[in-house]
Amino acid sequence: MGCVAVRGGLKAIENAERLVRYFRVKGDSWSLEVKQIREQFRLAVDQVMAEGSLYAPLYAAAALKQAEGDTIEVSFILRALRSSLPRNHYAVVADTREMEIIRRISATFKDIPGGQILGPTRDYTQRLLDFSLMEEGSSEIQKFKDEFLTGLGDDDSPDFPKIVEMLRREGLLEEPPPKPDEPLVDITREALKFLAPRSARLQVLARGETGGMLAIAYSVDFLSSRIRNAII
Amino acid sequence: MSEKGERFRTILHRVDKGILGQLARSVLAAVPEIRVIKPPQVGLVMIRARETVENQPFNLGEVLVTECTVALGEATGWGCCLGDDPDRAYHLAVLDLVLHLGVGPVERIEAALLAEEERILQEDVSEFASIARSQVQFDVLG
Repeated sequence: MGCVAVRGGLKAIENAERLVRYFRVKGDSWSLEVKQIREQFRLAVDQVMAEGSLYAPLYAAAALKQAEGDTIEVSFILRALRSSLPRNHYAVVADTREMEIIRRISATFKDIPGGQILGPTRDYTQRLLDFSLMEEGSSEIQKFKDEFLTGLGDDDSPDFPKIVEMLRREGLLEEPPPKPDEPLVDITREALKFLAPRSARLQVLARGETGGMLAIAYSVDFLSSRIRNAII
Repeated sequence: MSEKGERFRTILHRVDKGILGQLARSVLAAVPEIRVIKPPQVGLVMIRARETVENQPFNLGEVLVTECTVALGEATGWGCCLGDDPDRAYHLAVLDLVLHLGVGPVERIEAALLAEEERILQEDVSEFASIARSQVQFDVLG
């Protein structure tokens, strides 16, 4: 069967757009404030900004509202927005050792310099539904915040050396052979060609879809353990 | 850039929006000849990072910023801030100009920014202190 060219459907498309808006607002609740999404859907905002390759928290929150929380759709919206804006500058290469850290754990090294800091994680919870959130009131929130912020210490953030540097110092990992910086590939400006250089691969991974990255990471982990077992 | 200039730029990046607005308005009242050359406009900055395995840089992703340029005579001031925030970009450009030229109520601006620096440092310390509570204290068994 071949392809058949058709026309029409414009009216249906317009109505579908109106319909999707109607489905978002047809309930009798207040319209969500973008600021609420920005602050209380912190991780969804972070995810779509990473996948959309655009750091713009308020726009990301608005896009989450527009797409009713469909994160892949939001990433497309942000990527479309990104492609419509002028890129005026390139930042100086950031030194990731200067990152502000809110979570730092190592499964391999118990005594990592700077200590193991769990940070705001749900990893050690039992994933039970918190029914109290059904009726969370502003007075309860204020009470919790007052309690939480009482008696905080005044330790300044220590430096967190990279584990890889520690391994290199102890001779457990080779120093990378010194080589000049390769010309940077920008996959948003040039089509991805294989074998892709390292800078292109890292850029692809940085903006990869979260579920896809998880699948790749686990399959790599699985394969490497198969290889390890075969060697042993 | 001078050490002092670098310090003020770091503060200006996080200065409270209300305080920034007040300072900029006081400058504009004192030096009304300041004119806008490029009105606030959103654009992107590509952020690059260096990975630590092969020490190679790569393009991490873009950041939405608002930029604005103002001028007084031949001198120009440039403001750039995160997000879509035309007022902030304009006010930053005004302060950049007068801090560079040393005209207008510079001493008052510098004093206000140093007070802000203290607030910002305190904010950072409090945030880290709340996070530091989740540091694991290992007890060695046996």
